[in-house]
Amino acid sequence: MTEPVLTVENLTVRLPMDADRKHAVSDVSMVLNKGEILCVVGESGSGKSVTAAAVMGLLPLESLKVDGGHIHYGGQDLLTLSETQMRRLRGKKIAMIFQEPMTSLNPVMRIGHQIAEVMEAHGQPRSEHRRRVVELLSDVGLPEPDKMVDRYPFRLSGGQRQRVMIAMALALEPDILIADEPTTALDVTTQAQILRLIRDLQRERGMAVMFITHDFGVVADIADRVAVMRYGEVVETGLARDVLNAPQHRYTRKLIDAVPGFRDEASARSDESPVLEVRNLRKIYRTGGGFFQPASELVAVDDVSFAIARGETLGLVGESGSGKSTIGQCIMRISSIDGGELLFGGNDIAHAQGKELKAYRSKAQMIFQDPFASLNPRHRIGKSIMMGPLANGVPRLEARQRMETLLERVGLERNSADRFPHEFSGGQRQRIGIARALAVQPDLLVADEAVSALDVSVQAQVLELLRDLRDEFRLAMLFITHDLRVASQVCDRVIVLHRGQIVEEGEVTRVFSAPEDAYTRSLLDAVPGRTWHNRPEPESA
Amino acid sequence: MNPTLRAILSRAAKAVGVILAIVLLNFMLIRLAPGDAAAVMAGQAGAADEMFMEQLRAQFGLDRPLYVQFFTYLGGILQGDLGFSYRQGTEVSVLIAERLPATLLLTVSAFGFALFFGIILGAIAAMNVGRALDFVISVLSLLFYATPLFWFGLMSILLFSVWLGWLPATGMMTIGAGYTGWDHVVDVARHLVLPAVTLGLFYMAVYTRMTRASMLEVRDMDFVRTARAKGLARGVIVRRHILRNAILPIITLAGIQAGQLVGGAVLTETVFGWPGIGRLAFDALVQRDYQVLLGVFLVTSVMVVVFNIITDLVYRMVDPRIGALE
Repeated sequence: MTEPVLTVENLTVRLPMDADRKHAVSDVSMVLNKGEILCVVGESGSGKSVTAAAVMGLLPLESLKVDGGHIHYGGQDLLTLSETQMRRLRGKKIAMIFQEPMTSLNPVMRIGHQIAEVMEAHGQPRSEHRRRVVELLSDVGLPEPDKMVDRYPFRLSGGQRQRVMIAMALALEPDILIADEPTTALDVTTQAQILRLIRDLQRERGMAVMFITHDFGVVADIADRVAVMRYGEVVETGLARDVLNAPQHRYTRKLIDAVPGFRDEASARSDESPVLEVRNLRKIYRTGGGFFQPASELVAVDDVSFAIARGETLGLVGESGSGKSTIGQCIMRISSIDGGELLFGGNDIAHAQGKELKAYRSKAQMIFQDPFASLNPRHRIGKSIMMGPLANGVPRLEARQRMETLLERVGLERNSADRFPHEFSGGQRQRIGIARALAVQPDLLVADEAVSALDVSVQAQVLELLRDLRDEFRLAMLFITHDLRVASQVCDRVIVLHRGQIVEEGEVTRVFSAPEDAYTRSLLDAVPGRTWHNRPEPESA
Repeated sequence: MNPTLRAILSRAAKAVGVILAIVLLNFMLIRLAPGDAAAVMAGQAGAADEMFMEQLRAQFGLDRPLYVQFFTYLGGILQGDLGFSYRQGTEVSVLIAERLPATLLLTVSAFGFALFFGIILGAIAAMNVGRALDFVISVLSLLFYATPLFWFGLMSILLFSVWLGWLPATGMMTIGAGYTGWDHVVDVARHLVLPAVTLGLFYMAVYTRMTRASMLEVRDMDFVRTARAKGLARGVIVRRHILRNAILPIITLAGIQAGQLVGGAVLTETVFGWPGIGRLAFDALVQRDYQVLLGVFLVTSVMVVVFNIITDLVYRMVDPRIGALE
């Protein structure tokens, strides 16, 4: 068990001169033993991916340079090998899978060919490629492997593509698999399947796996040992159960505390009148259609009804394609509506136009997932925040005052109004997004995956802020998320969506502790780290 | 139905509508010019009285309502009759049929030259980004991009024909030489070099710049990193993964420009005395030979439409996503 296959010793990688710190990783050491899964955990910018890229020899040469250290594998120092020598190891002895399954495969090349390329690159006889590829595809649990070989990536779902990536990585039975956040972009149920697949294959083949993640739930599910990184340094290493249950370092403890868990105490029922009432909402996406073919239809939202009261947070949870974001867009009137009513303050605004629509928009606001893309990069943030009130006829002086108060309220400095979005971190930008939404003094706030792109510690702070603001401004909030733990933290009631339909609805602790629907149960079972005993159990076991 | 066949049919059906609209537009455009064919003919004859004009109009049906004239014209087109050129004394369709092959030879060669060298130079520049080679290629392509076609034509005639005497300056073949077989091919090819290169240089510059930019974008994509993680050799990565994806936007642009090339050929054909359709149009315009002009308009617009359909089909071949998403 403790036979090291890979040893990283005092690895230091320099950042470009203009970066905010000197080293991407500095003095990092870790050991990967045969037949174990080592999880490298850390928040964004901790240097975990850079460490992995250094092992693979895939550092971007122009910007990142190795300053010192050794990476020992098979009696040689990988850092001293030439590009050609390194190429012979890549894919054959050390393989890697990546975070983004949607973009990690060449879109114009058949899957079978992409897998066979690994064999071709390492001199396997061509005659065996196809048979071996079919075998691999069935090993990673893809349906109809002999047909799958000839498909193009766009035919496959994210989870299936990640399986293809795994098949590709396993093609030559490598000693080491490096997995860089391989499940982060996937739905929970798919994530659970892929994690199980990686663990099973690892046990079966006795591979060593270096698994990079930001999610302690995932660590609890698959890790044998853990290395925690922060600002390019390893702060703690140890056996998974020790680190998870008795963290030694302050930072590890802080990270674990920030991981959202399932809430215990139930929310009080709100007696307030509903701000928004959605009745029988329907949305159909039509694609294609031409001279010789009919258009195809997809019912994205199918007869969905609910209400949100003042001061209440309603969660919309579901996997991708469940229609949760579409509902948010319909409510904001960004997306057209194919049926049903949206009663806002008693008026149906489902088809409102002109003045009526404008009046509604000043009362309903949205916060988006991507804090990087949702602010105009050429506008100072003060201007971005003031634009809403100004458009609604608020005098400039008042709008300015409101903006400054809000900036302070969301935890930013007053004088940051004159700065541009790129000068802020992701969490700060999300705060700006919240301030922007609140500037028009809305009654309804729609938050679409508002904390999904943030690191856990930042996520916890933003959730806290949202809760406070909801109480302070008596907002009705629709909180759309794929993360059940986050929903449990922030929502009073929750709706579980599956293929555009509501499968379950109710008070949040009730739904998550005693789910009535089988689909809700499967979602809950898939939440990573469920068996981690240090955490509150969602089900009364 | 086979999806490719369905796509062709659908495109063809749309194309018929487009061509009809073009025919109508061209017809109206010509009628908008002051004076009709009778006036032109009378003018060329020296002088004519009102009686003679009326006679002419009746003879050519110009006294009938406009829509009748249009449908007569349209009916003729459907039967392959593009009208009669009184200046040249021949059927317009015969005139065009004589000239079209020369124009097609010129434009297709120029287009092939531009695409081939544009993509190769762009790829070389992208793979050497920031180095001297990239700089040289970028400067050259900027130069070709910015310099007018006819100037290039004149200068290359001066350099290669007049001073160096390597290549013939004008025409499509050596008149009176009576070459046959292989000699004829070589003779035409030698005449083709200067006009084709001149016509193609601008487009080559466009494709060079686009290929370079597109490859630099694709180079940083996730699937290229995957390809590197597989242990593939650099050449294979560039060819199969980077170039194959980088080329998609160039195909789109090239398809649009393939049609434009036919129009661009007017200048080149004039400078090099190339007996193509562009020259025919130019002469017809100067001589107010409207029937010929209408015919040329029709043929070139059909060619643009056909090029677009071909581009669509090529695109379906290189990008498997296109056919499936319809």
